[in-house]
Order: sequence, then C-alpha cells, then structure tokens
Amino acid sequence: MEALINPVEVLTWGLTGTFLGLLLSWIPGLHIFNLLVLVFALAPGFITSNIYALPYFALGAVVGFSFASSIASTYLSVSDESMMLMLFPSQRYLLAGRGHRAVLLYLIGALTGAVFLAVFMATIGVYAMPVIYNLFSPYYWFILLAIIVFMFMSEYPKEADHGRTPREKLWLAWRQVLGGVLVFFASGILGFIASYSGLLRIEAAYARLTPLFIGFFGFPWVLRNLISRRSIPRQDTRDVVETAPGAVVNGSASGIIGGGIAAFFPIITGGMGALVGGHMASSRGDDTFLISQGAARTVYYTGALFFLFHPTMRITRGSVAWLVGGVYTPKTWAEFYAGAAFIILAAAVSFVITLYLSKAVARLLTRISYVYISAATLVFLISLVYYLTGPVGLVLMLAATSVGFAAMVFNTRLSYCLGSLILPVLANTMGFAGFFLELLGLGG
Amino acid sequence: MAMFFPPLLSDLVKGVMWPVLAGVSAYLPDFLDFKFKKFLWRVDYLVDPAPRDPLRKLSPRRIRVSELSQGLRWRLYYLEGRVEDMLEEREGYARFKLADDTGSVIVVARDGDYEKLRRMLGSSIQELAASGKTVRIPGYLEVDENGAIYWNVADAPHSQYVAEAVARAIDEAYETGRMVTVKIHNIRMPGDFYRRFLIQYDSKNRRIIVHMGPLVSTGGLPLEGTEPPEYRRIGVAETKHAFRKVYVRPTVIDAFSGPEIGYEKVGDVVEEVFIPWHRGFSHSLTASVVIGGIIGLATLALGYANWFYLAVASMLGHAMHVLEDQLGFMGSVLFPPLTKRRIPGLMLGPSRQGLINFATNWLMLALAAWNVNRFMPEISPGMPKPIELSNTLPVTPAAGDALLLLLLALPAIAIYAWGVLDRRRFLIKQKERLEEEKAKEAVEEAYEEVGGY
Repeated sequence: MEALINPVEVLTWGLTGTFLGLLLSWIPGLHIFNLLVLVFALAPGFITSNIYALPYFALGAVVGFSFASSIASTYLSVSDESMMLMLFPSQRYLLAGRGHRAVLLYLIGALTGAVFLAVFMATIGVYAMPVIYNLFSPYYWFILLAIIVFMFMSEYPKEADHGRTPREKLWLAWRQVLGGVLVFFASGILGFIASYSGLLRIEAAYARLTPLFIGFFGFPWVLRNLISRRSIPRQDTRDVVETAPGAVVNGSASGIIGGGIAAFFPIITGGMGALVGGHMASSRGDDTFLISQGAARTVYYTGALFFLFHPTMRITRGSVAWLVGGVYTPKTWAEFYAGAAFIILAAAVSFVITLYLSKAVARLLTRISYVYISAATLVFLISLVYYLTGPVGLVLMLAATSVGFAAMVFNTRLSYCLGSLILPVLANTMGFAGFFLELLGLGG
Repeated sequence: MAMFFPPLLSDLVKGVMWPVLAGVSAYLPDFLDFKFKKFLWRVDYLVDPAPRDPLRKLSPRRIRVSELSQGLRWRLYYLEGRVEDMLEEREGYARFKLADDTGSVIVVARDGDYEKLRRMLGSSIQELAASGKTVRIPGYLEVDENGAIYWNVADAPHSQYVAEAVARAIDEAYETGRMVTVKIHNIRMPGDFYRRFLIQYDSKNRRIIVHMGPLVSTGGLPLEGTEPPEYRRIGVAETKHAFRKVYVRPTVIDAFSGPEIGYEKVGDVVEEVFIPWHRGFSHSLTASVVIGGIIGLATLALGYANWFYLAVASMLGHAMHVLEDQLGFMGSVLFPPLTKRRIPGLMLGPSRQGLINFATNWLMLALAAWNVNRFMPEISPGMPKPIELSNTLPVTPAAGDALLLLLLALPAIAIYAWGVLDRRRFLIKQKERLEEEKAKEAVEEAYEEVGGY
C-alpha cells in the first residue's frame, strides 16, 4: 500500500502549524481552537490541499499553543480556563520581576510533559490506552462527579486563620467555600443560557462558550489591572530558575497525571486535572506548581489530539480533535509513530522560541505602560467576542465577568467557573436538565 | 471501595450516583477536621510575631509611636516618620530619633541591619534628617539595660518572642493540668515570601530555642542574603517544667499557615501535641463504622436498593483514609473511646512522604482497575474482560486475576518497600545524632569539671 504521507510532508505541515501556533498563541484570549477555526474559515483551500497532513499541522499548532500561551498567562494575566490555577503564582512572579522565570519553569514542565507523552504513547500507551479506555469508559460520569465533589471538599480556606473568634474563623472559611458553590452554580446557569437559549446565532454555536470563558478567566484580570493602574517592575530576563530537582520531578509528575486525566476523560479540563494530579503527587510551592501547569497543559491539549492518531483506540477528545477528525482521522501505525516523533521536535522548537518570545515581551513591558497593554487587551477581547458571537456574546461575557469577579471577591478557585461546562452536561446525564431549563424559562 | 461491589458498579454504569457517597466518606475525615474542627478549636495563646497589614494581608503592619508598649516587644512592625535628630553614627551602627504625628522614639540600627537600612533608604541618615522626608523603618520594640525602650531596625521579629510564648504555654499546661494550645501565625512578606522560623525543643536543658531563618518561597526555597544577622537569629526561653517532643518532625513555620500546637501534661512531663484538632475521632476506625452506619441507614430510608453494599463501601472508604494516614508520622486515635491518644504512625518513607502518598493513590487506582476488569462480564453481559491473563499464560482465570492484581499493585509495593528501608535509615541516623549529642555533652561536662568554659 502506498504511504499516505511522507516525512517531508510531516515536517513541512507540522512545523508550519507549530510556527503559526507560536506566532499567535501568545495573544491573550486566543484559544487554539479559535485559531484553527479562523484558519479553516479563511483558507479552506490550504486545509484541503493535503488532508493527510492536516493532523500534523494541527498537532504542531497545539504544541506551539501549549508552550506559547504561557506568555499571555504570565505577562498579560489572560488565558483560557485550563490556565486558571496558574494565574496567581505567575502573577506573583511577575510582580517580583521574575515573569521570565515563571515562563521558564512552565516551559520545563511543558517540555517534560511533551517528551513523556510521546515516549509513553509510542511504547506502553500502544497497548495500555485501549485497555484503559475499555475499563473506564462506562464510568466517565461517576469520575466527573467524584472530581467535582473533591474540588469542593478540598477547598483550602485561606483567610480563616486570622479571624478573632471561632465563629468568625468558621465564617471566613465557609464564606470562601460557599462562594465557590455560588460561583459554580452561577456559571452553570450561564452555561445553560449560552447552550440552550438560542440567544446566540446558529453560526456561532461552535464558539458559544468563548464569551463565557473570556468573561470568567480573562476579563476580570484585565479590568483589575486597569482599575488598580498596575505597573510592572523591571523584569529579570536571565535564563535562571530557582528550583530543586525534586520540585521538577514532583511538578512534572503531578502535571502529567493531571493532564493525562484531563486528556482522557471528557469534560474534565487541564485545570481540574491539575488539581487532582497535584493532590496525588503532594505537590507544594509555586515553582512545583508552575512546572506542573506546563506539563498538565501540554499533556492535556497535545494528548487529547494525539488520541486521534491511535489506530486502535478510536476516541476523539477535545474540540481540536473533533475539528480535525471531521476532515481526516489518521489510521495507520506509521502515522501514529510519525506523530509521536513530531511532538518531540515541535516541543523542542516551541521551547526555544517561547523563551525568546518571553524575553521580548518582558522587555516590552518595561517600555510600554502595563495599563496601555491591558487596555489594548481589553479592546482585543471585546473585538474577538463581538466577531465570533455578536452583541449577545458581549452581554454573556459581561455576565460571566461578574461571576469571575465574584470568585476573586470570595477568594475562591476560579475553576468553579467551569460549572458553565460541567453543570449542563452533568444535569443532562443525571436527568436534571429539564428541571434547570424549566427553572430558567428555557422550555424543557 | 465502591468498585469492590458489583451491584454498586452496576448502578454507576446506569447513572445512579449514590455510590459517590463512598468517595465522599473517604475524604470526610479531612473535610471535618480542616473545615470545622480547626476553626472551632480553643486557642489559649495567639503568637503573631509579625501582624499583617489588614488591607494588604502582608507583614509588617504600621504602628504609631504612641502605640508602642513593652507588651509588643520583639514583634515586627514598621514605623513611618521623619528623622528628627542624628544621635550617633559609626561603622555598622546608627542611633537616631524618629518622629511621627504621635510622638518620637529612639531608633537603633546595627550590624547587618545598619547596612540594609542604608540600602533601603538610598541616602545617608544625616541627609534624611536634613531633608525632613518621611521614611518607613521596619523593626521591633526592644528594651535596653536601663529599661528604656527603643526601636530596633530589623526585617524580621526577634525569635525571643516565640520562644517565650511557647515556654509559657508549657509551664501553664503543667501547672493547670489541661491542654494549652498555642496558635503560631506564619510571617508573610511582600512578593509572597515567607520568613521561615524553627522551634527546637531542648528537653534535656528545659529550653525552647527558636531559630529565625531566611525568607523562603512558597516552595520552601530560601532567598539568598535574607538571613537575619547573628545577634537576633536565636531566641532562648527556659521552662520551669520538663517537656518532650513526640512528633518526630521539626516544627518549621514558613509558607501557607502556621500550626496550632497543644501542650498536655502526661505523667510528670508536658508533651507536644502537633495540630491537636487533627487526627482525632474523625480519623478513627470507630468513625468508619459510624459513617458506614449513617450512610447505610440514610440511603435505606431513601429507598436505595443497594444500601447495604454502599454502607460497607463507605465504611471501607473512610477506613482506607485512616489507614493511609497511619503510614506517616503523626498517627491517629484509632479506636476511641477505647484509645484516647494518637497511636504513632508507621513512619514509612520519612525523606519523601509525597512518594508514599503517591503509592497509596496508585494502589487505589490499581484496585479500581482490577475490580472493573474482573467484574466486567457481570456488569456488562456479553463483554469479555479487557485484560484476561489466563488467555496468554498457563494459569486458571482466578490465578490470572490474582496475578493481574499483583502486577498492577507492583509500583505501590515497590515504593512501600523503599519506604520501609528509608524508615530504617532515618531511625539509624536519628540514633546516631542522639549519641553524638550525648558524647558532646559528656565532653562539655568534663571541661566544666576541669574549670573550662
């Protein structure tokens, strides 16, 4: 049988995707899915010119995104939902003049995650993944529910220690926990409205959650930067990190576990996976955390798409995989192993380029006011939401922003905003969707 | 644990979510302790070496000259005012008067603190006095040999404050016969760095020694050049009564939150009870039975057909948490009301406790995978087991299942085995350290006998 694809095509298409991902993924609020949708819409001829090479193009873009999006989350405080756990430590690094170190720690995790993913999938994963899929697929919803319960139960009350009386301490602790519950349900209701109300035009259906996610995770931070007129101290751009080998191992392990869970199970995202992974590997500290986030996001995004390449597993995970799978799904072991090797190459290229991108952005921040950058980000996000979803999307984004702000006020996890995704799906599975729809006046 | 029971597995496949309660039970012990008991526990002494600014939630906070009193001695604050008068300045030492809108106080900077102050102010103190500029001076209130108070420039509280509070609590516990709990707040500084300090229990000499350390990141990495100067690094307080440290780990306070430490008279000695609100009834096997009973009865009342299996799974889930915790140092009160004190843990893998946690997580996942695999034909009729070793190896299906369990659990077993060896190494090292200390003391006593130091 004639080979469907040759190494030159894998490299050409794959690296084109990687460079495109690296070039655009540092722009705040731009998820790789939206980027690929834009490419599909603007250059359909390019996409269909070699459908066998398209998966490598997407794989390169996803790897590039996994690495380069650390720039936006560190320097511009905006990112998609899977980055939510990372905002606070990277903010701290940035404010201490160590934004570049935060990026470097993230990249160490991302590179480790990418190499592990490629090696594991090409060796043990070949045999293990189909078996794991067969074992656990009947229990997806149970596992999802268990992770949500765990999220609430493991919320760590941050301020209660400083209450003056036991009652005040208890209130401070539970204010945070109950705030999390409130945020979860409020975002869930917004998820129902975005998905079932018909407010968004049908062509924007693929991006129905975009205004919500930008509102939850991006907008509050940008607004906060503007309101507080935050200025960024001079950044140290030396390629130096302060961490211990143990922290690298621990962070990578927790990230790989978390990213693996997120890639494998539907609905569970990189952020939620990282929470479970962090708990399993007992990770502690900002440096470990940043490393784990790099590993988790890379394994999550790249792993979810790479499952599409597995010839015997036949699962499609994540929006990018659905998009690519609609055009062509790789079928042979040769395509699979070429993909595994390409992940390592793309990761190495992405590591080096992101490092230099980080230095350039760090220097830029010392020349241009952070307030101006935040204002430009704000304009960009509004334009993006308007372009994708129209004026109704802007209204949804503002509603989501208030929920995101509520999470900040309650000092609780931003990850509860994932209720927008989880609650509708869970309610459908458990047979409560009708109840919610009726309650919201959306029919039933 | 729900995975051990085919009826519960079957419910999960059908979308019946009651078995999730078994998972909730497994996390319940920590939920109860960390969300309720921790906050309701009575604290007798609140030790806050560096009170936080209420808005920024960072240390130090501002204090005005009129608020200075001996009760605040050694605690870190900052003063804001103008340098009024330069009284003395020489190499490594400065003494000047600082005034705010409520009064004035003498400020002393010495050794490393003098250098740090010069760097922080960016100009000489003389120049500042002449300019009348407002400056912030962090430090603590100190009392000189004549009983006069002054402001000692510092970037950390003096360890003596913590040492004296702990010594006082130990004596009070002995004299009153009840548990005295001390809550020690950690010191969170700008940039999300924490000042690390360590409490050492010198039982033999009845001394509490507190070591003030460098600033550390949340990951515990020290920041170079932030160690306090020698003269205020150590605080020592003597107790009137004997005490001993039970929890083997050193009491180090840095990131996240500071601990509560209980002191309780046991016989003729006061014992340390680390975070006394934790690992009590909630972490007992008695509680496992109670939780299983409550969940069983509640789900029976709600008409759940597999209530009995769920009760047993919940009990086992809770018990697994208790037993997992028992692998560490602290241990739990395992069988209340029959036992009233914590039964010390097995201390597996003391140098890398995270690895032991990982092994237990792995073991739980391995058990889940094993159960799902062996019950697959029962849950989904017509479906073969995804892994059937008896098809490829000359063994019976039952032996194949047992072998699969062994293979899946192997990583966890290997880590536990390493944990046992690590424990042995740890205990040997600890014994050697004790012997070294004894030998050192013997030499010191001999010197004293012959008129040495």
